[in-house]
Amino acid sequence: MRFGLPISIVLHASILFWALFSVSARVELKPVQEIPIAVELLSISDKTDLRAGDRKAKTEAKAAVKKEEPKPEAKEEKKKERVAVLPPKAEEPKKETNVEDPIADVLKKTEEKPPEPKKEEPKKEAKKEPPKKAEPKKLEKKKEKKKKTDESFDDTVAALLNKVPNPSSASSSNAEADPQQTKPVKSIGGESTTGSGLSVAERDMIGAIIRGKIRDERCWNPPTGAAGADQIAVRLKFKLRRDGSVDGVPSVLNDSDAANFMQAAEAAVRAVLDCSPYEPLATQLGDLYDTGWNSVTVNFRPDQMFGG
Amino acid sequence: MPIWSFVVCLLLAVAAIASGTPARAQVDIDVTEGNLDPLRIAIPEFLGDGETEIQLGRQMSDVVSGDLESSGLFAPLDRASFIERTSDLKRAPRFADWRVINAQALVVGRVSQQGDGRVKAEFRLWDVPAGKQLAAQQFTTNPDNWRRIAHIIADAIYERLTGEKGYFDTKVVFVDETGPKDKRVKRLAIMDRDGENLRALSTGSALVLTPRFSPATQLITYTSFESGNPKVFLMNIETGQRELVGNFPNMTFAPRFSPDGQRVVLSLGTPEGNANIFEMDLRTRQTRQVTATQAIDTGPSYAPDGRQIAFESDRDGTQQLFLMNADGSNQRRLSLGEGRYSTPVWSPRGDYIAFTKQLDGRFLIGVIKPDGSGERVLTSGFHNEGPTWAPNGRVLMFFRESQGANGGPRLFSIDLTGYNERQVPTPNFASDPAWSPKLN
Repeated sequence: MRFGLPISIVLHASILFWALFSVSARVELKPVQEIPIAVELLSISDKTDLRAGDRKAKTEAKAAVKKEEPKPEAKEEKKKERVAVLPPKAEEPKKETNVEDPIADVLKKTEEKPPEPKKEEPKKEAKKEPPKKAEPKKLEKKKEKKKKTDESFDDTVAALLNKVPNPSSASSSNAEADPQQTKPVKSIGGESTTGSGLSVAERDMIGAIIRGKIRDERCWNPPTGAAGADQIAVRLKFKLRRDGSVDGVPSVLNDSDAANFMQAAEAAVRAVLDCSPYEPLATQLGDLYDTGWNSVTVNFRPDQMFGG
Repeated sequence: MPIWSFVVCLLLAVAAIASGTPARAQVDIDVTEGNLDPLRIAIPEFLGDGETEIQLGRQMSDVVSGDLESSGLFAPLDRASFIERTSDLKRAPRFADWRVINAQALVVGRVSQQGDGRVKAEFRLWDVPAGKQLAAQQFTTNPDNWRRIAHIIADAIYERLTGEKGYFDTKVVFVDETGPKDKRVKRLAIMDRDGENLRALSTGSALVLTPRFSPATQLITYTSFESGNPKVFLMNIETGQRELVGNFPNMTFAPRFSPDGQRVVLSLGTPEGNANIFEMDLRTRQTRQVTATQAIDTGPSYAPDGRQIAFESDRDGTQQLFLMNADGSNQRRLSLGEGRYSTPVWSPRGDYIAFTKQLDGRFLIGVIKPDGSGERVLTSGFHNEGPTWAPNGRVLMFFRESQGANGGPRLFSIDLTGYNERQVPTPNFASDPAWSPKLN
C-alpha cells in the first residue's frame, strides 16, 4: 500500500498526541463510577437523594443500594422529569449589566464624586476550621427556624395580593431540600464527586444552603407594587471565598427594559451581600473548594413570589 | 484525495478529544421567596456649620426620615445606634461601620448658608452592602422653603431606591369638618401631604363636597351648595378666585378634570331624579353630553390617556362600575362582584381603578384592573369612602368615618399592596381628600 506507512505514522502520532495531553490530565481524576439512583423517587424534592458511593462505607448500605440500582430507561425518565419540572433558565446575556451609578449623568447639579469607596472586608472573617460535618443539633434548629419563616412568608404573600398561592410555587419550595437531606450520603459504589467538579448532590447542597440563608434571614426584598415589578427576574453571578463569604460585588448577568430593572438588580445584589457570609459552606464544603469550584449563579424570580 | 481527507478528519477528531477538559459543574440556584420588609436606611442629622444651619439640618433630615418612613417601604434606623459620625460629605463613608448596624442605605446631607441669604442643601445616597454612591444632588433656596426641599430630597431617595416617582412633595385638598355632628361646618382646606402648612380655602358658610385637583394647573373643582342646589365650581388655589362651571340647569355634581386639565366632566341631575354625564371645555366653554340614560350615571373619571372614562351607574338595578370611550360609545359594565360599587378613580399610571364598595353593611376600598380582572379589597370598615391616588399610582388616600355621637371622618393612606395603612394628621375631622399632582 502506497499510503500504508503515512497512515500508520499519522495514526500513531495522533494517539501519542492524545495520550500526551489527555490521559495525563485525567490521571489525577478519580475513576468515574456509576452513581446509584433511587428509581422510585421521582419527585423533584427527592432529586438530592442521589447517592455517591464510598468504599469505606459499612456493608449494611450495600444491600439497600443494590436494590436501588436503576434501569437505564428509568434513569432517562427521571432526567426528563427533571427537565420538565425545573423552571426555564434565563437566557445567557450577551454582556454583563453595568450597575454603576447611573444618577451621575442625570443630576442637574452634581458635585465632584468622592473617591471610589475602598472594597470592604467582609463583616467577620470566619475562622478557618478544618472541614467538618454539621452537627445534627444545629441543623435541627435551622430546620425549625426555616419552617417558621416559611409559614409566616406564605401568609404574607397570600394576604398581599388576595390570591390563592400558586401550586407551582409550592412545588418550587419543595424542591428546596434541607441541607441535612442534601448532604452527600456516602455508600459503596464510588466517590462523592463525579469527576466534573461537583456532584449533583453537592450542587444541590450548596444551592440549598445559599437559598436557605437568603430566605431565613429575609435578605431579598425586591421592589414591589410598581407596574410589572413582579416579572423582573435578575440573574447574578458571584464568587465565594473559602470561609463562605462573597468575594467582591456580584455581577448582574441579564438585562431588561423594565423601568425598575436597576432597582430589582440592586435588591438582588443587596440580598446576596446582606446574607454573606454563608457560614455552613465553610464547614461543610471545605474539601470541595479544592476542586476549583467557587462561583455561583442565582436567579431571583419574583414571579414565583407572587404566586405567578 | 479521499484518504488524506480521512486522515485530516481523524486528526481533528483526536485533537478535539485531546483538548477536552473536564467541565466544572455549575451551581445555579433559583430564589423565589422574597419579602416585603422595609429597607433599613440610616439618615444622620444633616451637617451644618453655624447654629442656624445645624438646626435646619436637623429639621430637614427629620422631614426626610418621616417622609420615607410614612411610605412603609423604608425603616429609618435609630440615630443612637450610628457608629460613624459623618463630618465630611465628600469622603466616602466607612461602610463597615454602617454594615455592623445592618444599614442597607445611608443618606448624608449638609446645609450651608449662601452669601445672598439663601441656603444650600445637598445630600448623598449610598448603597451600604455594595459600597457605592447611588445619588447626589444639591438645591439652593429661600430658607422658608426648607420643608419643600426636604420633601424633594425624600422624593429623590424614594425614586432612586424604588424605581417609582416619589409623592412627598405634594399637597392634599380636603373638606375640613368642625362642630357637632348635627351642625357640621365644612370648609375646603389645603395642606402638605404630611399635614403641615394647613390653610382654609373657603369660609364654611356653604356645604362643600368632592374637591378635585387639576392635573396640570393651580385649579381645583368642587361641588358647593351655596346657591341651595349643588353646583360645580372652579377655584384657583393661589388667588382664591372662583367660577361656576357651565350654565347648566338643575344641579351639577361629582366633577373631575380630564388628564390635560382642559376639561371638566361632571354629572347633571334632572328633576326626575336621573343624572347623566356631561363635559365642559374650559377654554371654549362648550359643553357636550356624554351619556344619555334614564338612570343615575355619575362619578366620571378619565383614564390617564384620555381615551376612556370610568363611571358609576344604576342602570342595571344597583350601583355598578362602567367603562366607556371618551365620546360616550362602547358603554360596558366593569364590576361583576357582589355589592354596590361607586366612585371609580382611575390610577395615574393607568393599571388600576380604585372604587368604594358597599357589601354586607360595610364600606370597602378596593382596586380593579380596567379589563375587569384583579379585583382586590385594600381596606374595609364601618364607613370608608372617597379614594384618591398619589401621583405615582402606588398609594391611595381615603376617608374613614368613626361611629358614635362623637365620631367623624379622618383621612387615611394605604399602599396599593394593601399594606401600611396610616392616618394622615389633620387638626379636625376631614373628608373627601384629593391628592395633588407632584409639585416639582
